[in-house]
Order: sequence, then C-alpha cells, then structure tokens
Amino acid sequence: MGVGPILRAEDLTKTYGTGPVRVTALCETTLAVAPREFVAIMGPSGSGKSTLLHLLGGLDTATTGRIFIRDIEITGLSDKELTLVRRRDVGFIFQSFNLLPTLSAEENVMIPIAIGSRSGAHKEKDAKRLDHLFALVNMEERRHHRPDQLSGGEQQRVAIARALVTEPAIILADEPTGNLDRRHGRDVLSLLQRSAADMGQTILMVTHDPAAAVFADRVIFLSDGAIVRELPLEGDGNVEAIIASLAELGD
Amino acid sequence: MRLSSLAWRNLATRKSRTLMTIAGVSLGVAVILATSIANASTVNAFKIMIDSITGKADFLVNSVAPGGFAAHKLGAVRQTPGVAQAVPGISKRTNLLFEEDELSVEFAGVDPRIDRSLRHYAVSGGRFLRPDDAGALVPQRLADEQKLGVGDSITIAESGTRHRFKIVGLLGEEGAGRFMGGRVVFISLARAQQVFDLDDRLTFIDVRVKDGADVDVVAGRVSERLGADFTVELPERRTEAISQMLRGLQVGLSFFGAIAIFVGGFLVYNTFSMVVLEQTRELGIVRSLGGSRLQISVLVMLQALFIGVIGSAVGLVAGVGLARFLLGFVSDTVNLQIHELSVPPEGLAIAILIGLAVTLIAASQPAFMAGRISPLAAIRIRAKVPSPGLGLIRLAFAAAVLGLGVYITFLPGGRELGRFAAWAVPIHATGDFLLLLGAAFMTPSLVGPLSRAISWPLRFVFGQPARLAATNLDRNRGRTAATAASVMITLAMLLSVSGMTSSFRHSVERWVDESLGADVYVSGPSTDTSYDAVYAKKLRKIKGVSDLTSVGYTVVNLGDGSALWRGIEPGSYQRFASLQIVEGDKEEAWKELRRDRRIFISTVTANSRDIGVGDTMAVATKEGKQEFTVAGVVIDFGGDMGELIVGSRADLKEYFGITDVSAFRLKVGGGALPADVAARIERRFPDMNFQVYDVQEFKGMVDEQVNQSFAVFSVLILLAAIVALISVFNTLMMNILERRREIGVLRAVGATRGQVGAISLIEAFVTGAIGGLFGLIVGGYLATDIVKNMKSLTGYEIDFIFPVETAAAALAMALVFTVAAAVFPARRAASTDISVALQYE
Repeated sequence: MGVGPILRAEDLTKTYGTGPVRVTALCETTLAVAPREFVAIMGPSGSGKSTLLHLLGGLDTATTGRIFIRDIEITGLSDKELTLVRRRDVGFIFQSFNLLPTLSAEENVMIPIAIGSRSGAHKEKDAKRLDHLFALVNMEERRHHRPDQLSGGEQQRVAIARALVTEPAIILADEPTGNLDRRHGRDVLSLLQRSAADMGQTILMVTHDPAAAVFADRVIFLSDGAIVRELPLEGDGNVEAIIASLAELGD
Repeated sequence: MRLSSLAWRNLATRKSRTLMTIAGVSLGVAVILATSIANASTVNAFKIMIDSITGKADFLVNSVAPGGFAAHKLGAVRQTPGVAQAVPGISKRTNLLFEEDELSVEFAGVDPRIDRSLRHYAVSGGRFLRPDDAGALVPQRLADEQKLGVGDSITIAESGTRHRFKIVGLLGEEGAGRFMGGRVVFISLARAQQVFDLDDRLTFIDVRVKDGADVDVVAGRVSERLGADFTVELPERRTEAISQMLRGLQVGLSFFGAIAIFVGGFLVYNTFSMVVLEQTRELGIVRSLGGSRLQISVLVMLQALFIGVIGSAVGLVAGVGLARFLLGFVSDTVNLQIHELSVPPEGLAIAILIGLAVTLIAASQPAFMAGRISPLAAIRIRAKVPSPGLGLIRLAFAAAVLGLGVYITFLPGGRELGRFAAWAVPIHATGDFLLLLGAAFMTPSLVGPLSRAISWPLRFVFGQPARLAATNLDRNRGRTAATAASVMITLAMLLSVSGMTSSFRHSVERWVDESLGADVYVSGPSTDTSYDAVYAKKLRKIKGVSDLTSVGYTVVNLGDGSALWRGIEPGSYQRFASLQIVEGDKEEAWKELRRDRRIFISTVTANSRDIGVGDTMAVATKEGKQEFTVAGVVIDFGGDMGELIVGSRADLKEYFGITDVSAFRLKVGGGALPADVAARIERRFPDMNFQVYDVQEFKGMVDEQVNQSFAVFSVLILLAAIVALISVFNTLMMNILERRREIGVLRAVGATRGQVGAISLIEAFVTGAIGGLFGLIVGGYLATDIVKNMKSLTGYEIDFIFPVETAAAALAMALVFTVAAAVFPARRAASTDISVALQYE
C-alpha cells in the first residue's frame, strides 16, 4: 500500500493474577492493521479476543509488549495521556451498545467532543458533523430520542455515529452485532463496511459470527492467546472458509 | 438452600455497606433509648433527692418568711394529734471555699440524736455526727471529687467570718448521702444555728404521722395550729412540680429521638434500594429458576430483619453509653448531679420495636420492587422509566401530610388549649414532625427542576460533567430525594434548635441590657442568702462606687405555686434598671409601686393566671393571705421558673418581716472601672461570701446558662447529622455502583479520571444544595413554631430571631459534608477499571 500500518502491536502479552492462579490471556501477539482496513478477529471463547481489543484501545494495559497508533507508542503512557488517546484516536462500539441512558441520541454522539471542550457546548462545525453522521447512520428522525426509546439496531447505529464523531485513527468493535437480529446485524455491518470504504476508517472487529466476519477485508484467528491463522477475504465462499478455519480451531 | 441463609450470605458479601446500615439503625435506636434513659434517670434523680431528704417524713413544715422560725414551734407540731414524730432541721445554701474555686452546696443542720430515726445515713467511713458536734459529714463522692478524707477540713464564709469543719465521717451512695446529687454537707443542728446566726431558730420541720392516721388531715391540723406564717408541703406536690418542670425537656428529647430514627429510616430505605439494585441480576436469576415474587420479597425482607435485629441489639448497648453522656448535659440543664442510670423496661421495648419496625417498613418498598423484577433481568438490563402516576400520588400524599403539619402548627398552644394545655407540646411536636415528613416526601418532585437550576451555572465551570451530573440526579429522583431529605432534616433540626437558642438568648440579652443597668452586682451564693442592711452603707464607701440600691428576695407562696419576690427600692431602683413594662403606663406603674400592697408581676406569672394590671393576687404573708394589686406586667427572665413578683422592700418588711438585703446593685463613678471596683469589694470583704460580678461577667454568666439549657439538643442534632452523613455516603456509593458501566463507557470514549470524579462531586454538591436550601426553609418555619410554643408554654416574652449566621454556616457545612462524603465514591468512580466496568451488568 506504500503507507505504514496505522495500528501496530508487538509481542503483546497480558497475564492476570500471580503464582498458581496466574492466567495468560494473551501471549506475545504481534499484528499490524493498515489504514482503511476492516479486520475481523475470531476465535473460541477465552482465546483472548476481547483482551486484545481492550489493550489496543488503551482500556487495559499490557503486561509486556508495545502498541503503536499512528506510529505513536501508547504502551507506557500515563492514564491521562491514554485518556486523550482514547478521546482522539480510538472509537469504541460495544456489543451492548453502552449508550448513556439519560442522554438523547444526539447528546450521546457528542459525548467524546463535549468532554473534550470546557463548556460542553456544541459548535457550528459540530452541528454540521452531526447532521452528516445522523444521515450516514440513517437516524435523522430519531436523533432526539433517548436510548430506551430506540430499538437495539437503532441504538447500535447511534453507537457507531459516536465512534465516528472524532474521526479516530481506529474503530474497535466488540461483537457489535451480538445483541442484534440478523437484519439489524447486517445493517450495522454494512454501515461499518461503508465507513471503512467511504470515510477511510480503519476498523478492528471482534466477532463470533462467520456471517459478520465476511464483511471484513481480512480475518485473524486467535487461539489460547495467540494468533494462529490469517485469512484474507476475497470473492465468494468466504463464509465456508471461515467456518472451516473455526472448526479446525475447535470452536 | 434456605432463603434465610441466602439472605445472610448477601449481607455478608457486602460487609462495609451492611456495617454502615447497621450503624445507622444502631444510632437511631441508641438515641431513642438514651433519651428514654435520660428522662427516667432525671425523674429518678429528683425522686431520690426528695426521698433522701424527706426519708420517712410524710410532710415538711416551712416558715413563710426566710430566716427561720423559733424552735418552740417544734413543740406545737409535736403536740398536734396524729403526729408521731417531728424532726427539726436547718437548710442553707452556701459555698465551700477551696484555694482555687468555690462549690455551691446545701448545708443541712440536723439533730444527731433523732435524725437517724427519719433519714437513712450510710456512714462509709469515720463516724456519724454527735450532738454539739463541730465536725461535718460529707458524701463520699463529694469528698473523692475534692480529694478529701476523714480528718481533713472544709471551709465556708458566713457574715464576715470563716468557719472550718473537720470531716468526721463519709456518707455512701444511699439515703441522705444522695441529697442534692451528693452536693450536701451535714452538720449538727447546734453548729448550724451558730454558724448561720440563727440563735435557737430552725428553717424546717419534718413530720411523720402515726400509723393509720390520714396524712392530709394531720397536715391540715398542723397548718391550722401554726398559722399563716407557715406552709405545709406534701412530698407528692414536689414530685409533681418536678415532673411539670421536666416535661419540656422530656418532649424535646423524645422529639429528637424520633428524628434520629426517622433519618435512620431513610438510611435503611436507601440501603435496601441499593441492595435490590445490586442484586437485580441475581434476583432475576432466582426468578427465572422458578422463585416466586413473594420469595424474592421475603429474601429482601429477611436481610432487613437481620439488619434490624443486629442494629437494635448494638443500639441498646450504645444507647446506655450515650445516655451516660447525655446525662452530663442534662445535669447542667436541671442543676442536679445525675449519677444513676434508670433503664425503663418500656423504653427498652420501644427502642427495639421502633428499630425493627423502621427497618422493616423502610425495606418494604424496595422488597416489593424486588418482587416485581422480571426474570428477564437475569439476561438484560434496560434503563428504568420513572412512573409519573406514582409521582402524582406521592406528591398529593406529601402535600396532604405537609398541609396537616402546617395546620397543626397553627393550632393554639399552651394555655389557650385550656385543660388540654399539657398536650400542647406533644401536639405541636407531632405537627413539626409531620411537616418534616411531608417536606421529605415532597423532595422527589422538586429534585428535577432544582437539580437543573442549581447545576446550570456549574456547567460554565465544569462543562460536560455538570450536565451529566444533573441528568443523573434527575434519573434517580427517589434516591437523590432521599439523600437531600436527610440533609434537609438535619439542617432543619439544627436551625430550629439554634433558632430557639438565639431567640431565647436575644430576648434574655435584651432583658439584661435594659433591666440590668448597674455596673457591679453583689449577692450571696443563692437567693436565700441575705445580709444585714448595714452593708449597703459599707459598700457605698468603697472607692469608685457612686450609687447603690438594695434588693431583698424571698420565695412566697401563692397557693397554687410559688414565686420569687424581688423587694426593690422604687426610688433608687429606676436609676439602675428600666423594667420592660408590657402592660400598664410606665410612669403610672412606678408611682403605683410606692404605694402599699402594689406589685409588678412577670409575664410568666400573669399568663399562667390570666391576670393583668388592676387585678389582685393572693399571697401568703406572715399575717395570713393578703391581696396585692398588680400595677404592671414586666418581661423578666429571673424568678422561680419565671414566676416573679416585683414589690417594694417596704412591703417585704411589713408582710414578710424581712429587713435583710439579698443583693446590691452598684454604679461606679469618677472614672473607676467596674472590674476594679468588683476586685476592691472582694478584697475588702473576703469572708462575706459575696459573689461580685461586673456587668460583663454577669452577661457572660447569663449566656452560659442559656447555652447550658440547650446543650442536650445540640448533642442529639450532632448524632442525627452523623446518621445523615452515612446515608449521604451510602447513596453516593450506590450511584457509583449502579453506573459502573456508564462510567466505563465515559472513560472508554475519553473522559478523564478527573471528569468522572467531578460528576460524582457535582452530584453531591447539588444534592447537598437542594437539601440545604429546603432545610433552611423548613427549619426556619419550625423554629418559629418552636419559639411560639416555648413562649406559650413558659409565658416568657420571646421575640423570634432567625439565626442568620448559623443558617449560613449550616448551609456551608451541609455542602462541605455532602461533598466530603462524595470524595471516596468519586475516587472509586475515577479509578474504575474500564475493561471490567464495560462487562459489568
């Protein structure tokens, strides 16, 4: 591609506990994600998928190893610096949407910008951005609704708009379709796919679902805390290939 | 597994919260029990005091005039049919002199030959008195306090002479040794007559009637035989008078006990809302596995029962300790040392019952809600939608309770209720309580608008955290309201007590300023100490004294009670004091007072008898009952429980035979300083037992007395405040726990630790402000009602003064404490582990 990876992890290890109760969740994992790439991470339960995602997003700290976002190392940053990285460079999408229940859809989307500004007030530039995002996620009509007035699919679309609002370096999605039915799941995935293609977003998505993974450009398989296989997705028959790989991993 | 063991495990897993809730219940129970012990012990102490000195006597004979009566009257009493025994005695209040300070004690002169047949003396060291004994018998406790023993000496000063008494014996904690809470010294009758210049006179006779004789009949005969110069007092009347005197204190204590348990109830409610919240998933799982609604409710109620039982048990132990602590203050207020704790069984029962009932009632709503948890909660959590229907019902209920409370406060108080006057205080206390309750129930409806209004300006400083804080507060209206209500109640209580104190103090100070215009005050240790009138001349000669007026005191019998008679010199007294005459023309009144049998009476005396200027009043004099005409009604905080008659010294001499002077009021001139003149008097008359105060010292003493009277209530408020603080802390912790995931999300999308912590602190601040503002309004209103009641109960003229400074300080403290209580929860929120919090459900 001629451009270096936007996200890079080297020899990442994460262990919990000490002594006899010590558990290694991730073991010397190395990976790189190119700009605009949409990568799916798959693997059996307990393979370290979520741990990897949390480490890459600066939600948790690695025991050893290094992480670079836009060539800036985030391992070893203070909590305050990590917070700023999350605010500017990372967007999160969760399985259970995680919208703040007291805020409207629009306010939820604005949170990452509002907590970065002193007064918490919206600017004109932000208003235009909001219009664009709500159009993108097709939620213009419901932007003033509160989360409990929205369906699961709608909530997840709001969450995607929230992840996009700061134009982060990378979006990390943890089972984004896990709580959705097939139709809403497909909506969300094509939205993510469009974001990567049209808006130039880089996306890393953890999923169980081969039907979800096919929306990605490449699938990384994890097992027992290590990357065991990579599968570039091109053309047809990808679902079958993914299922075959998973079967080999014993999922 | 049985439900009870599941309930127990749930409590055991959340140790710190369980402990805090138990602490809240315990404090409430402790305050209830302590107030009931304090009440019982106070009444008991007075009973002991009366019993200890009356012994087996059936009634007591006193002379109307002070200075005692001739000993031959003893023979007249003894010869009255039905009298089995008549025992003479002398009682005099004086000061024990020590190197550094003085101690006010009762000196009792008794006849060692016969006194033991009436009173019980438990000699614990040395020996009993002998006839003509020069020594003294001192209670062991008093001796220990002053580090004295048998063989040591004590000293008093009377009429310019120092008298030393060798301690010949010590008295144990029973019978006579407990008189006046042990502040008593027994000497022989002969020595007492000599020391107090009484020749062969006595000041009282104790009478025991023959077995089977009717006490009232015999007392009537004695009274008839001795004539109008004497009064006959049955012990029951004294007991009655004392319980009357203590009623205000008792109602006050009970009221604060109720408040403490009320605040404790809030704490329990908060806790159990939190328990249900935290266990939503677990309870949902139990439901999905086939648990019935009832079983879920029972599970929560069982936890409440455990907390209620443990909290009450701990509260009982703490209550006894607290009672001991409270009695220290009560002793000061009622001026009697109270050493013994009486634990009334019904007090114990009530404390336990209330502790359990409040816990169970407070937990019942959360338990009911728990029963309604859907089995789906095991799988998902949806944002709760507040039900507006319930809100309206609650608002209507709150308004009704509040309205009823306000209505009751408008009811007439005290004497206006006629024969129900004794119920005035309980009725008004109930009104005040309902008012608080209604206001507390009203808070949820006001939390929304108030939290938005208060947090609005904060947005400009703190930005997004302030916005989030406001929406969070609004979302958990019930909980925010419960916290604000705890703050409100505490503040309201604080304000009503300080309103009461400051109003009382203000009125007393005004009285002091206006009516006490002298520069130096000279008197004896008590109103029954008197000095020969010749000392007026001697005092005038002291350098710096420019003017002087003499005052004589005596306690007079009004038939339906007693009053202090202040005999003044109408001519000179006006130069020293301008009495606050509230009824009658001022100049006319003073002119009238110079005439025979004209008096001023205090508002207390006037109100309690419903008499005014021009009416007459019957007073027992040495010439029998005489009618005195009221020439004016004055505001005066002196007197016997406020009962005061201001008459002339001329009448004092004519009708009571008193020429001695009890107090002197002096003006200084020629550039002399009152303090210097006071010091000169003390140097010139070292052994006169003079209590000399310059005007500043006098005011300080008055101030101290006012403070002492209200100290008990301040302690109770402090306890209620502690419970409220635990409640606030609990709620804030609950907010954090409930929102763990949201906090995780905020942190994930880039909120700093500081911002997350700030949300909690702002929530606390706004909650404190809502409670504080509400408390100021409710407390201000309560204070007016309490002052109104105090006025009508006591008859004192008291102007209501809103304690502005205390209010400002209390509001500031409410904010500081609420925010301080939030520091730990805020830190906890800030340090939330994001990846764990995100998975938290």
